[in-house]
Amino acid sequence: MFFKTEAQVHFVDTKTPDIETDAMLDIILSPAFYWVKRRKLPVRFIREAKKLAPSVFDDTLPEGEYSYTAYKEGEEYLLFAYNDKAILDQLLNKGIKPSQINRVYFAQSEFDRIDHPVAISTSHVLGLHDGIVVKLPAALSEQASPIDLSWHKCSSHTVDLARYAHIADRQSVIRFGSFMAVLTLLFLIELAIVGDKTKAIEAEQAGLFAKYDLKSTMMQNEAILKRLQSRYEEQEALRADLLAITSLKLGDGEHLLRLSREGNALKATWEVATSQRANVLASQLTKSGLAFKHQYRDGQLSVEVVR
Amino acid sequence: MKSINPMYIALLLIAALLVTAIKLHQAKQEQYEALESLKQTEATARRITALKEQWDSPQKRTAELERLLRSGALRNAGIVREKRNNTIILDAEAIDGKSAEYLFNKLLNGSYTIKNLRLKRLDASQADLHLEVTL
Repeated sequence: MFFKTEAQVHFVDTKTPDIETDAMLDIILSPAFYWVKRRKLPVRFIREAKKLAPSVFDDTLPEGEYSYTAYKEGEEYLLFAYNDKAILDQLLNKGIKPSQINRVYFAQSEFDRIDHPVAISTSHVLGLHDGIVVKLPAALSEQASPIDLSWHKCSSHTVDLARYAHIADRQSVIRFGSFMAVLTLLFLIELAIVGDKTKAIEAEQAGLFAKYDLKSTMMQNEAILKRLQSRYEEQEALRADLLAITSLKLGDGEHLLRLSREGNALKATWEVATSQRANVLASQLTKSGLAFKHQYRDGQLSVEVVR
Repeated sequence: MKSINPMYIALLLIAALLVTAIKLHQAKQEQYEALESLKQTEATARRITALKEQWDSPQKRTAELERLLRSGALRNAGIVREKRNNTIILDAEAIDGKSAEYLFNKLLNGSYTIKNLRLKRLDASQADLHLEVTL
């Protein structure tokens, strides 16, 4: 209901004058635009009847490209053959653009219940003959009433005109659509595979936490790592400093008096005879890469490592 | 039934393909990030394990220190040990130079967290020693 387009209903015959309107149109095509046959067919469904339509109209139709449609009426099928391009060209000649066409009907489905002829122009009428709506010369009918579509309620038997063949024919649309569908499907398959792989990676990550007995958040683990790394670096630095201090080449009478580490302060004191020797020892320590402050007083060289 | 403009069908299909392509790109990005996070987690985990093994194994360090102090070189060195919270305190008055050197070498070459130390030379062969090892 919300998507139904309100369109004007127009009957179109080959002799219909041009239509000057920009409104959307529901078109009822005169029998001049199509061929119709009524048949009893050994099929159950309309789509099967449509497949048989070309053979039913074999030898009936003039040269050209035709589309077929059908619907069931009682025990019989009404089969239709029509030339899309010819119809659209005719409609265009009468001022009806393909974009204006809302729905298309055949006169057969719209006038199959008339009880008297209907005048469609000054020269022709629509009448019923053996249940088939036919276009007759007006002279053959005296009681024709003028066609009045103001109260007409269209049937459900719409006709599908190939209005977009100039953009792309059906084969091209199918080919393009199939290609795009296959590509989209491949992408979707890859999407599913990537999703699965990501889930597997996340499961592996969760497994690591259990395997290495990690804390539940990486922030906690980073903090633990930082603490341990800091302890490792501090102890390595201490060992390097102690190595430099204990590797000092002392002379006769020179010896290490005190070595202490309180908190981060590493201090060492040597008994050294002269300030010159103290300087020599200090430069040895400098060469070994130690950063320190030193002083020499009362025969003792005191060093405090600076970190 | 109305025919549908094939251009609309084409646009719809292209839009569907684009959306799928974007989703796929996002999914690949997420996969990459998950992989990077996994690598980082594994590296962190291995590092923590290695560092814990060396610098945060109180029971192991305690056992090793006990074995060291009971060894032939130090058993009779007069080293007094005391455990206070998570620290082992070693005190030795007038420890001989060889034992002190042996102890120092073992501690410095092992994964002991040396907190504080005091070494005071008494004479050519003896020294006072105070060591605090954090477990």
